[in-house]
Amino acid sequence: MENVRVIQNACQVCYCDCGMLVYEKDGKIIKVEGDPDNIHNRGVLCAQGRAARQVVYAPDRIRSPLKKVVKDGVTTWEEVTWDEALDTIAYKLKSIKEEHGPESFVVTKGPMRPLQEGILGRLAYSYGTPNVSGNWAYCVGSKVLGYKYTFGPAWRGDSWMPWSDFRNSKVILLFGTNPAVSFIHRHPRIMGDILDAKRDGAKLIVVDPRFTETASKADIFVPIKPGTDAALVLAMINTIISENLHDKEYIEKHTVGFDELKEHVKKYTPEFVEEITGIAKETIIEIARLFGSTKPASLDRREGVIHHTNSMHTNRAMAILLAITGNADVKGGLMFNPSVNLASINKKERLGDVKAIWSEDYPLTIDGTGLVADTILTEKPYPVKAMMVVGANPVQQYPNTNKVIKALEKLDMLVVIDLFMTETAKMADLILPASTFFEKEEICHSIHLALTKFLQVSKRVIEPMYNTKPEWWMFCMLAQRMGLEGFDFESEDDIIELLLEPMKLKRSDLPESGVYSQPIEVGKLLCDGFNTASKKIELYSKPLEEMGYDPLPSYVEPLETAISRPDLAEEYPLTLITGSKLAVYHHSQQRNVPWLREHAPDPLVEINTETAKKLGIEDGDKVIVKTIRGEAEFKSYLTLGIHKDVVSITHGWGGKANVNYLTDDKQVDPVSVAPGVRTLLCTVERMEE
Amino acid sequence: MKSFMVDLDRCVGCYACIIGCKDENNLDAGTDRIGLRVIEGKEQLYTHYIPEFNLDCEGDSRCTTCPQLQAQGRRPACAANCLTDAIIFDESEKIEAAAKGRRVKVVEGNTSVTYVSSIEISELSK
Repeated sequence: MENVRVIQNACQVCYCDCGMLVYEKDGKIIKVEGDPDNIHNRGVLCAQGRAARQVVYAPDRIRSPLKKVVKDGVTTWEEVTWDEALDTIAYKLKSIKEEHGPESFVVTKGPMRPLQEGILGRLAYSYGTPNVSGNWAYCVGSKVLGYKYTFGPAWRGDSWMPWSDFRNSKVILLFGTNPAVSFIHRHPRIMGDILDAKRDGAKLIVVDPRFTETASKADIFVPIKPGTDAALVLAMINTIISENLHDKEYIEKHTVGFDELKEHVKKYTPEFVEEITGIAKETIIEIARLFGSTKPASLDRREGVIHHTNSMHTNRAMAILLAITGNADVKGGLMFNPSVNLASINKKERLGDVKAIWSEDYPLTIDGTGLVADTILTEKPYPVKAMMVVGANPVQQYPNTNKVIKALEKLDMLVVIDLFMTETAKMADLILPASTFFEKEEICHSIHLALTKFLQVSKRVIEPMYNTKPEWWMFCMLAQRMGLEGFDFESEDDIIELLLEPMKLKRSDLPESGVYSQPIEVGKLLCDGFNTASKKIELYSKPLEEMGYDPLPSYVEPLETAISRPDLAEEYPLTLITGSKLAVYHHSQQRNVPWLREHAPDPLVEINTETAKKLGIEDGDKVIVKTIRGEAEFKSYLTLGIHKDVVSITHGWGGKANVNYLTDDKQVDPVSVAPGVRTLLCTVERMEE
Repeated sequence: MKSFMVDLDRCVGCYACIIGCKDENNLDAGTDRIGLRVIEGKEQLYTHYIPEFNLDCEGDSRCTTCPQLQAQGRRPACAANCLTDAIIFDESEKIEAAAKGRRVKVVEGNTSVTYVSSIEISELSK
C-alpha cells in the first residue's frame, strides 16, 4: 500500500496493552492489527482492539472544552477556550483549598498508565489531597492483599501481581472468570493457551454461577451459589489434607502455619460445604482430588470472586490451596513476576499527614472509590467539595447510582475529563476533552503480568484531533496556574525519560517497537526465600492477626442473602449478580461503536428458563428488576446457563438499564473495600407493554 | 487450493474474526462477510459457537478470502485474527489431515469451510 506507515504500538482499549500495528495514511488511521512480534498477543487483537479506530473517529467525540450553562432551567454546553476552562478550574480549586482544606478535593480515575497517572498523582499530591481513587479495590485489591499476606510483598516492596502459568499446567481451575471474552490480567491469547494445554491433556475446571463462554469448553463445570467460593476452596483444602494429598515436602520446607490450617479447615467438610455452595459433595471431592493429585496445577479468579464482601479471605484461601499442593513459584503453577522498575513520579512525599477518606477504616487498601459518594453526602470523615473524574464514569459504574447522583449534585465543582458525553460528564460543570491513545504517548506495562518483565513505549500516531489534549498536559497546566512546582515538562519525552531513569534506560535505547522485555526467573523465591518475617509462605498470617483480621481464612455469608437478610428474602427471592462481561464492550464504553454495538444491541437480564416460566416471563420480554435500593429495566434472556435462583446483568449500560441503580455502596469487603455487587436480593417482573 | 477449517472445539464466540474482517475490508456495520451463530442447548447445558462465512451471496457481503492479504503471503483477516486458532486457512490436504478422526461437515461455496468437532453438533447440518 502506498504512503502507508505501519507503527508498532500498544493498544490501550483495555488494560492488556497488547502489541498493535497501526496503519496510518495521510494522517488517518486506516487499520489496526495485532503485532506478530509481541510475545503476548502474538498477532491478534480482540474485537474491541480491532474496532479502536471507530472510537477515534466517532462523530460524538467531545471536541472542545465545555462549560455548563443553565439558563431559565435549560442546560446548554458552551464551547470555551482551554485558557478559560483551566483558569476557572484552577481558581475554584485554589479557593476550595483555602476554605475547606486540600483533602476536600477528590480525584477519581479509570485505569491509567504510568505517564498520565504519574502526573495526575503529582498534581493531586502537590495540591495536598491524598484522595486519588481509582479501580484498585474494584479490580484487584483483594487478590493483591490476599496473596501479599500469604507470600509476602515483592522484594522491592510493592505487591506481586501473581499469575498462573496455564499453558504448562495440568489442571486449570477458574473461579468467576471468563478469559474467553474478558481480561484476567492476561493477554487475548490466553484462552488459546488454555485450549492448547487442554489438548495436551490438562483438565479445565470452571466454577461459576453462569455457564460462560469459558465454561462451554470445561471438562468439569461447577455451578456455584454466588459468594460462596471461600467455602468451596476451604473444603478442597480440607479434603486434600485429610486424604493425604498435600505436598508434605514443600509444606515443610516453604510454609509456616500448616498445623493451625489443618485444624482450622476441619469444619469445612464436603457435606457442610454442599449446603453452602449448592455443589454436590461428590463434585467437591472430585475436584479436590484432581487438584491435589495432579502437578503442576494452577488456578485463578476474577471479579466473580473479587466483587464479594468476603473477598480478601477467599483470595487467601486460594493462595493457600496453591501453597499446600506445592504449586507456588513453579512452572505450570503460580508464578511471581517482578514488575519493571519505573520511577515513582507522583511526588507523594509532598503530602502532609492528612488522611485519605478510606485510611481510617480500611488501612490496607490503596483506594476507596466506592466510599466517595457516601463521604460527600455525610461529610464524614470530612467534607468533599470538588471532584475531578478522569476517564471514569461514576454514574454508570459505581455502586448505588441514586446515591452517586445525589452526591455529585452536592459538589461545588465537578470536572470530567473524557472522550465522550457520558452520564457523568452530563453532570459536570466543566468537561475537558481528552485525546485517545493514538494521539498521545504512554508507557504501557500491564502485560508484564505474564511471561516477562515488560514495558512498551507507545507512540503518538496522529496529532490530537479537534481541540483535544493528552491528560498530562491538562494536569501540568492546572498545576502551573495554581503555582505548584515541578510541572514544566515540554513534552511527553521528558516524562518518559524520568520514568525510565531507575532502569538506566533511555528511550533511544529501545528498539523501534518500543518494547523492553526480560525473561523472569521461576523458582527464585523458593530458592532465596519469600519476603515475609519467616522467609516462608505464611499459611497462618501473624501480620493480619496483629492488625485485627483473621489469621486464617473462613467462609463468611454475604451480607444480602436469604440467610443473612431473611427480612428481605420474601419480597426479593432471587439473587442478582452484576458485572459479567461481554466480548464487545469494556465496561461502559463502546455503546457508540457501530461494529461492536450490532453484536450486543440490548441490555439483557439472564434468567434461568425454568425460573422465568414460573414468573410468566418469556424470552425477549421487557422486565423490571428491583432491589431495596432501586429499579432498572432490561430485556429478558432465557437460558439454562444460569443458576435457577440467580439472575445476571451486565454493567455499563446507561439510562434505565443502569444496573447500579440496584447495587449497594455499603456492602464492601472489610479488608480491601472490594464492592459486594454480586450477591444482592432482587425480584424480576414482566412489564406490561 | 487453500480453504477454511473451523475447529468448533476451539471457537469461544469472541467476535475477533468478525471485527478483524470489518477492519481489514473497511466494511460498514450491517455488512458481514462472516457471522457468528450461537446455539444454546434447550434441554441440556451446552453452547456451540459457529462462525459462518458468506460464501454464496453477491456484493460487499461476500467472503473474498482477503486476496490483498494473500498476495502478501498472509492469511485472511478472520483466520489471522482468531484468538484461539479456531479458524485455519490452509491447503486442502493439510485440512483433510487435520480433520481426520473428527466429526466433519463441509460447506461449499466460492471457497469451502470444513467444520470439525469432537462432538456431534446436529445444528450444523441445518
